[in-house]
Amino acid sequence: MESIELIDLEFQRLQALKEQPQAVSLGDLTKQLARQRNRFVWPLLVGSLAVYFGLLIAVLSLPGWMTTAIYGEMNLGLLAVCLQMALTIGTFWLYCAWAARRYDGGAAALLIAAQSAKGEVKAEVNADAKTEVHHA
Amino acid sequence: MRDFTTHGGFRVLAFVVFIGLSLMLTWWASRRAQGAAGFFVAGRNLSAFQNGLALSGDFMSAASFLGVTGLVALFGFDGMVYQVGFIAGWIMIMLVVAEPVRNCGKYTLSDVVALRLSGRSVRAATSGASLLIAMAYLLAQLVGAGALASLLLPIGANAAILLIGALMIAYVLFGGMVAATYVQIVKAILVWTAAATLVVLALSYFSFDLSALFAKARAGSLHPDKYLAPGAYFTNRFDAVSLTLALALGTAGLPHVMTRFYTVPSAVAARKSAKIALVVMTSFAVMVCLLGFAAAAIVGPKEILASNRSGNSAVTLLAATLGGGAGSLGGELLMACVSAIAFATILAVVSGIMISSASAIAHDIFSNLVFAGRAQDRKQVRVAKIATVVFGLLAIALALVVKSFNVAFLVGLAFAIAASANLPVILYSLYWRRFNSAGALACVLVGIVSTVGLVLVGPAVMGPKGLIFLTTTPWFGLANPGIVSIPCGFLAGWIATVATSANRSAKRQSTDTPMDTGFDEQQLRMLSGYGAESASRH
Repeated sequence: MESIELIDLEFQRLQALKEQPQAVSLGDLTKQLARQRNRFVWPLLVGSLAVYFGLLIAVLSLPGWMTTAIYGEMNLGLLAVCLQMALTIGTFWLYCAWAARRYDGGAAALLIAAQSAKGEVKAEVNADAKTEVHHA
Repeated sequence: MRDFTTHGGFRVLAFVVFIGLSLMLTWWASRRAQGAAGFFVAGRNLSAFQNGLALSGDFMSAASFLGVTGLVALFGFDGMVYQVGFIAGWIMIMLVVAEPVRNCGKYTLSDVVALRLSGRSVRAATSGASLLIAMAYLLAQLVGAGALASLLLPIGANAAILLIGALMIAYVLFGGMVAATYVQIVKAILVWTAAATLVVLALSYFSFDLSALFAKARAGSLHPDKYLAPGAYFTNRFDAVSLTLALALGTAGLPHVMTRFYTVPSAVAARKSAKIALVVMTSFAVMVCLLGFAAAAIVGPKEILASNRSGNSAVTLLAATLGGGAGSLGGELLMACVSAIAFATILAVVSGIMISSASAIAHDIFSNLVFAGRAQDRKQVRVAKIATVVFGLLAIALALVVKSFNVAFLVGLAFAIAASANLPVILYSLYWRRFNSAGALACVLVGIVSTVGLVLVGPAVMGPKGLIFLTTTPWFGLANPGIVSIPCGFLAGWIATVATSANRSAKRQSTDTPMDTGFDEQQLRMLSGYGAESASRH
C-alpha cells in the first residue's frame, strides 16, 4: 500500500503539469535544449582549451622552470605534458557523464515531440516528453 | 636463411601477408558496400567500437608511429609537445563538432553547411577546400611512403609510391568506405599491439624502472641539458604555438576524420566512438613517447641519425635491437613486423582520405552542383569510382614529381587550412543564427588564401631551409601560419556576415519578408536527430 506522502507527491506533480501550458512550441523546446547544451559545452570547451594552451605557453616561455625535478627524472615540464593528456580525457569524460545524465533524455524527448508534430511548427507534445525536456 | 634475413626477406614477406589480408577484406567489403550510402558511409551500420578503432587508426599514422618516435628520440621533450597537439584536437571534435555533424550531414562536410546555406557557391567553396586538404595530406603521405621505402623495404621510392597508390585506389574502388574502414581497423589493432609489445620489451630492458630509462636517454642524448625540457626542437616558441593551434583546431575540420562520424547509426554512437578512439589514441600517444625515449636510451641518437636524418628509423632500429640485434632472427622478425605495420599505416590513412575525396567529387560537385541534386544513387557511386581513379592517379603523379623535395610542411598546411577555412564555416553554420552564404564564402576564401600565401612566403618554401629562393630571407617568419590564418578565417566570416546580413534585414523590413527558419530546423535536427540520415538495411 502506498504511503500518503507518495500519493500527495503524485497529486502535486499532476497539478504542476496541469498548470503548465498544454501547447509548447517545438521551436521553444529546441531553443531550451540548445541553450542548455550551449551553457555546458562552450564554457567547458573554452576552459579546457585555455588550460591546454596556458600550459603550452608556460612550458615554452619558462624552459628553465620546466627542468625543476619533482620525482626522479620527472620534472615540471613532463608533468605539464601529462596534465595536458589528462585534461583531454577528463574533459571528454565530464562531457559524456553530463550528456548521459542531463542531455540525452532531453534530446530523445525532443525527437518524440518532433515526430508527433509531423512537420507542424506549433505542436501539442505529450506530457512525458515535455517533462523530460524541462527536467533535463 | 641468413640471406633471407639480411636482405629484408622477412619484411617483404610480412608486407605481402598484409597486402593479401587487406585485399581479402576488400573483396569481402565489396559485397557489403551496396548503394550510395553503402559506398560512401558503410551504410551507417558500423558499431561505435568499430568506428572508434577506425578513428583512432586515422590518428595513429606513420607521422605518429615513425615521425614522433624519432622526434622524441632525438629531441626528447619537444617531440612530446608535438604528439599532445594531435590529441588536443579531439576536445573540439568531441564537444561541439562530432554529434552535430553526424545529425546534420549525409556524406560530406559540405552537407552540414548546405543544410542552412543552400547556395551553389558555398558548396563549391567548401568542397574545394576539402579537396585541397585531401590533396595536401595525400601528397605528404605518398611522398613519405616513398622516403620510408628505402628504410624499411628493399624497393625504391618510385615503386613504393606506385604500389601504395595502386592499393589505395583498389581498396576504395572495390570496397568503398567499408573496405577503407576495415583496413583501418586491422591496422589500428596491429599498430597498437606492436607499440605495446615494444614498450613492454623496452621497459623490461630497464627492469620496468622508468627513471632509469629517462636517465639513460638523457645522458646519451645530443643535448642532455635540454632533452627533458623545451627548446631542443622548437627554437621559435611562436612557431610552436602556431603549429599546436593548427593541430588542436584543424583536426575538427579534416574531411576524412569528420566523414567517419557518418558511418554510425546515431549521434550517441558517434560520441561513443569518439570515446573509444580517445582511449586508444591517448594510450598510443603515451606508448609512442616512451618508445622515443627507449630508442634514445637503447639505440642511441648517433645510430638513429646515421640511418635517417629526420629520425624516422628510430622505432625500427629499436625493434631490431630489442629482438636481438640487426641480422639476428629475432631482430629481423621484429623489424619486419614493425616495417610492414608502418606501411600498413600509410595505406590505411591514404584510403580514408581517398574515400572522403571521392565523396566530395561525386556527391558535392557532380550530384549537387552539376546535376542540382537529381543524380541517382547508382550514378553517384559510378562517378565516385571514376573520381577515385582520376584523383588517385593525379596524387600519384604529383607525388612522383615532388618526391625529392621536403614536403613535410604539407601535413601542417592541411591542418592549417582545415582550421582556418573548414572549422569557422562548420562552427558558424552550426551555432550562429545570423551566419549566411557571404560569411561562409569569406571564411573559406580568406582561410585558404591566407594559409597557402603565408606558407609560400614562409621558411618552409622560401629561404635557405625552403624549396625556392634559397638565398633570400623568408617574408613571413613562421613555418606554421595557423596563428595568423585561423583568426583571419574566423574574422572574415564574421565581418562578411555582419556586413551583408545588415543589408538583408533592412531589405526584409521594407518588403515584410518572413524570417528564414533554416537555423531553427537545423537546430532541431542537430539536437534531436529528427530528419537525420538513418542506417540503411542490407
